[in-house]
Amino acid sequence: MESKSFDIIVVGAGHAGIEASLAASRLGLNTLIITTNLDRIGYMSCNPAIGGLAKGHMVREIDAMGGEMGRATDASCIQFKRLNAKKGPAVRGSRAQCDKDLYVSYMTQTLRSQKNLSLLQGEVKSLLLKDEICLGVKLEDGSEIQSKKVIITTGTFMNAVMHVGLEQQSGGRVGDRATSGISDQMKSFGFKVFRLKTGTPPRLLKESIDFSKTTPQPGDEKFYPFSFLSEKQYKLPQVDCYLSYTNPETHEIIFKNLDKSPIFCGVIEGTGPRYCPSIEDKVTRFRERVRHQTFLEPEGLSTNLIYLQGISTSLPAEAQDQFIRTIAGLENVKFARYGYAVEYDFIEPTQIRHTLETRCIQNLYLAGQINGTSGYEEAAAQGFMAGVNAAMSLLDKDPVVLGRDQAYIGVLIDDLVTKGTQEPYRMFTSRAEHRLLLREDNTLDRLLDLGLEIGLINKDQHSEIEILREARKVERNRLASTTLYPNEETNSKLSALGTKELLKPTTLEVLMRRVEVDSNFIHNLGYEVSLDPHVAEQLEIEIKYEGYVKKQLELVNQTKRLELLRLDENLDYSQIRGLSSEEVEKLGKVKPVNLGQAQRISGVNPSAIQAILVHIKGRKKINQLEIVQR
Amino acid sequence: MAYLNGPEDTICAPATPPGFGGVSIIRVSGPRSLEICKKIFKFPSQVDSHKIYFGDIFHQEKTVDEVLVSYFQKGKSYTGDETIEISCHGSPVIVEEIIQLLLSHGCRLAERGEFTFRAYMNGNIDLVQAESVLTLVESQTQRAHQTALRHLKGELSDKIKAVQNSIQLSLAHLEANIDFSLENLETMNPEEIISRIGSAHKTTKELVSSYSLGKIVSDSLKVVLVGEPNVGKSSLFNKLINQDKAIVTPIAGTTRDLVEASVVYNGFKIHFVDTAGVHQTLDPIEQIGISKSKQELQDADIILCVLDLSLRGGFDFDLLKGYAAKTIFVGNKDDIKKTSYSDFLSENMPKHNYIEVSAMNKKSLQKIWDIIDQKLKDSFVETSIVVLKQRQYELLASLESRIENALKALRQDYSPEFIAIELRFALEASYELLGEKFDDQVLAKIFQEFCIGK
Repeated sequence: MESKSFDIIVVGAGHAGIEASLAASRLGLNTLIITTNLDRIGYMSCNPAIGGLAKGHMVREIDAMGGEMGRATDASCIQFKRLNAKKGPAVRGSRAQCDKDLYVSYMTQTLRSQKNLSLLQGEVKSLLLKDEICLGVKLEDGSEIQSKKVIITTGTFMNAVMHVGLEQQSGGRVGDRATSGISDQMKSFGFKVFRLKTGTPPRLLKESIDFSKTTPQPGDEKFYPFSFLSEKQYKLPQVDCYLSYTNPETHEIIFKNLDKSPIFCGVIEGTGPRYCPSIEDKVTRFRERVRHQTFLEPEGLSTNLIYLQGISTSLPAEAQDQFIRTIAGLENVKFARYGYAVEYDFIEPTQIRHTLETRCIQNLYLAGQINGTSGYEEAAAQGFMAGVNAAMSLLDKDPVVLGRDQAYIGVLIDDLVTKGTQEPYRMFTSRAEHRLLLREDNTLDRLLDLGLEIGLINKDQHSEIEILREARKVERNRLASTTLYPNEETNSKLSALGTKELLKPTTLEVLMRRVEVDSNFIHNLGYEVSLDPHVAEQLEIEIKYEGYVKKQLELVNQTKRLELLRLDENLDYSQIRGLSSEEVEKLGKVKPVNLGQAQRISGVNPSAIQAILVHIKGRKKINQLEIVQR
Repeated sequence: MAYLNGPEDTICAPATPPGFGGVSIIRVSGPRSLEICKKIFKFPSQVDSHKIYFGDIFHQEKTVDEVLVSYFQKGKSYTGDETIEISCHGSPVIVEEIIQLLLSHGCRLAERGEFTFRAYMNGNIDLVQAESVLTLVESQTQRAHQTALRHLKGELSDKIKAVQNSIQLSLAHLEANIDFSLENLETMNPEEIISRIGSAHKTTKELVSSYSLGKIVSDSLKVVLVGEPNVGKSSLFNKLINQDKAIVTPIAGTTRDLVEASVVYNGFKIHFVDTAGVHQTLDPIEQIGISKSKQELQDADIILCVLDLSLRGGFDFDLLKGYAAKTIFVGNKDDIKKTSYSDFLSENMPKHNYIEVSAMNKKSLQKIWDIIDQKLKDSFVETSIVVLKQRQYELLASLESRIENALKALRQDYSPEFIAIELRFALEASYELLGEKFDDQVLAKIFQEFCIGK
């Protein structure tokens, strides 16, 4: 390290820290990333997969703005699936199994070769604070490093405790110690800090598994890379996963051992995620189920570790030994690691702004699981936005805040800062009220311009979307200007291809609104049409879902009106007539930036929005009067 | 939000209480006021501000009413926007018909306090005035809301709740099938969802048609008679409705079920309910009647608690707990003979809600009508019950059409997100109907229903 002073310090080198440090350094800022273990940069602590419903969307969003996660995923992908492929385009999602080691080495190399970015192994013990401004960090060894901005991305490591049965051990992940200091310091500064819990299943040795008793689960043949910059072909050999099930015997053993479960005994106080319950939770809550599925997922090409998806547990090792061996194929299995639960500190996220800067301490940003989220993608998305916004602030540019109608990342951050969270927050497509607009297929249309504007996408890369847009326009015009007439010849062709006959002259564009009509169909009908999936698929979607998209846009415009009415952060809600004390408290806590956000706070009623409106409009008028009088 | 939805809309609402005097006024305000009114009223070629025009409101060549129309140009009206006031004959039916016409030509119903709000936004009144109006509107809103809810209570709200549950459950299954498609969940099959949503659709459709405007106007004010058996409730009821609908006999407990009838008074419909005499009984049929009576008390706008002046009874006044504001004690049979009980009552009852009448003497019944009259005046809010119910009607209609869309999409085997978007709108309408706030209960439902985990 050459200097003891940086523009930006990022604490933590997980999925959030990586994106934050890359965004900042690529925007020209002198950046330092500090981690307790330089061998585990971008390590996947839990499942060996990236993407999934809504999560895959976010990976593409990060990519379209110039982030790294998509490229790393493509480079280490060993199985790819497009989920919901048979459903509508808005709810199709990409998921990739990754080689964990390759992912880490890809990210390590990227970070090490990045200009303006320094790496340091060490533990940050506290923040350097002067009044309410963050000036850098203090390390374990007492040394101090100055910086203009600090981004904390410590994940599940702060005051972390691991539970296996009733045994506890300090640590954020097997093999890595917990960190302490920052969250305590923040607590004493007045931040609300709470506990969350998460868990991970056992890792098994491949050679001890009898795969003949399981069902192989291959990936898709067709690859849709996460990054628009990646090759369109698989880079690595593709592998299968395997499906197996628990059975009544498994459940019985689990029941017998519940008295040794830290969760059921109340040893763990943190709240766990409802969408990712432990196997103990599953069998007790859904007693009528005779089996639960589990996927056996390889953690990489060159490792013999198998991840047991769906069987997260914190029962004691002896119990795990017993019940795991009742699962078909695992009768003689050997454990590499037992499953465990982790409890950790998180900072209640309504205390941060949309830029991810904390409200109480200037120049301090929080991103990732420290804000109460769960998942690699959610973390990376926040890390990226924190890195960008810290940089924008230093470059004296406007902050970048994504709208809820613009990106899942916008929904994620707005939900966190507006509603807070009581459990590890995971993204679902159902959280996005404008779901039909936020599709994987239109990610570049939504965000590549912004990427260029931010400065993390260059002109060359941006030209990709311009070429695509132009090609689609040409295709669309062609479809719109070609008319079919309901004569015998046309109708018999249409029937032969499996669609209804025409009753009146119809353009190809209108014909394409039919479910069964796609570009291939038009091609088979004998008309010229592009079959390039990047053009054709998007075009089909545009045409088929135009009506729905229009409806959704109307809704967006309605909400926009409220978003345009900005609220002063220092607004004293207790001075506004007509608000209940609960509303005053909630509004004062969240400090919404506009009326739209105010409306989304739970417990704030429509009448309150009207009262605030009257109040701010009135103040504006009074201010105007005062100016005139002066 | 209402105020923000379309500040450029042209809005309309009755500006006078329904059914009073000879005249009602309907106010129309917004940039298209004149344009819209021209479609239902023949103006001369030159229309001047602050002038009154006489003519007919017409609908498809037929005259709806003879009216006076005043025009106020932009900047010279109460709201500051272009405004038209229509003075028509004071009947809720006519007012309703004219409002319907305005709506069909592009007006939107004014939200509560919206005229005042616009006046404020246009700088015609100051903040203090606006805030006091807002506070007033707020309290009225709550009251009006309670009124609305009360009208919804019982069968209607149970039905909506059931519809809501079907939607919520179907939505949870559809959403789970999207967000957790890898989990191999046992979600409802499409036929089951279609049958649930189909029956929800049938229910809402029935509600919409039974909730016709005629009915909306008819149950505007509810007067409920209660009291011990044989104190003369039924005689009083018969006199009030002017026909022998309730059976009047000297045997206590004759009125076992509810007897209801409506009369038009000053152009406003008053709905009278005669309840079963409330007393301790073991007769199961009578017990049902009594529990119905208790329900009616809750729903009433006015409770007439009838007491027999000639006989000190054992009426359980606790039944009226919580309803003090709307209860009037009626000492009946004041023509028979003065007793120590009648003296006791006239001395001890609060003056403003105690009257003495005789069902035998029609003239003395005027006291009851005076009370009803006062209540009608008090209960008038800027947005009348008619409008409020119009809002409910709109929500019901939107609920129905959203469910219908979802059903169509389901039958055509659309991808679940397209069904979900319709069901979400439907759910929101149902929440608003019941006065609840829509938050994300669907996710909660998913986690409750399914075993999900990575």
